[in-house]
Amino acid sequence: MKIKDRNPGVGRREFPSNLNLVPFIDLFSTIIIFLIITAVFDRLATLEINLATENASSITVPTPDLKKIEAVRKVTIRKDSMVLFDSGRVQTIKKESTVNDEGEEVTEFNYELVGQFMAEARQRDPEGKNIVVFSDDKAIYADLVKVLDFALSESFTDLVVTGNQ
Amino acid sequence: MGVIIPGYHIKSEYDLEEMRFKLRGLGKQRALSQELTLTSMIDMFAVIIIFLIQTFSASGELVFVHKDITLPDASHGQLIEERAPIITVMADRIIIEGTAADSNQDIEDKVEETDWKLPLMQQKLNEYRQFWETYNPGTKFPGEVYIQADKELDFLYLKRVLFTLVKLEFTSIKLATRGDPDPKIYTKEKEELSN
Repeated sequence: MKIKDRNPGVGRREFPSNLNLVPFIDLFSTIIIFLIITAVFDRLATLEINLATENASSITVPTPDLKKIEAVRKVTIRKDSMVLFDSGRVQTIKKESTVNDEGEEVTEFNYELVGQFMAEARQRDPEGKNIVVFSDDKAIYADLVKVLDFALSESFTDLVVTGNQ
Repeated sequence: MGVIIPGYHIKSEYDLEEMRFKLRGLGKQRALSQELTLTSMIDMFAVIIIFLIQTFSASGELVFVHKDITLPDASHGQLIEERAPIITVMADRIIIEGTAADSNQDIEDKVEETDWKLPLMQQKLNEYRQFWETYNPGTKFPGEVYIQADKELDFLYLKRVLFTLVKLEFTSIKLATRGDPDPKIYTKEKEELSN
């Protein structure tokens, strides 16, 4: 049904039916350019470590700032094996050949076992903070970082790194 | 015989019949101007902006990674908030703040503790410490330092640097890693310390 206009042509203004998108696109383009220039795609973080004065095999010389830590939990990293120690419980992990996501064959530790060890250590000592990580000269840096990362995942925030002299 | 005006007679092998029809002014006339559909473009812009805002870091990059180094991955690291000297440890040399400090060659032969001295590194770090203490009188030197090394590097190379750092009382040592920081762990730690 057609509605009859009572006063045709009186008091009627024509509004633009379309939204003006030009300034909108200009603004978007400027924001995109700014964000692309300032973008940081490679995110970095740090792992804070302490150095021990625990015994003679420590890599460090004693200084007043360093604290003595009793090693309840200790991880020894070597090039091809890793020994995990927690309150008398000892577990040895050896490097295994596996195929990574890219289909390449790599030799690495089974870090799931390290994760399990840390979780059990946390259950045994809910308040514990420290963990001593002894690294052999030939140990790979990535393995050390991975162990520290797993320790942090269970909130062992006091990470003590030592090595042989 | 009268003159006959020739009609359309050129016909190529690939005759575009429709085009010929149009050129003669026949057929339907289409409007030349058409509006561009902007909706999809704005949708795409919005998605890009959301992604870029998520990856935006207001603090900028405080640690620059050396081009020959691949940092190890870690998912429970700490956010880099403050500026400190960056020590790059490589198999052949040690770099502090982008300038070569000492050589790491023949490290296997350097078994004695006295062989481990890194005189250039010591000098540079002492200079930094003096500079810091001049601008922060009465404040305890935090001894903060960042270490970056390739993920495949042997610990031996790092050990030499750590040895020197502790001798110089740089005890707040932070290992640079790749990955998003995990603020939960350290927030909990800070709360406990404040309590």
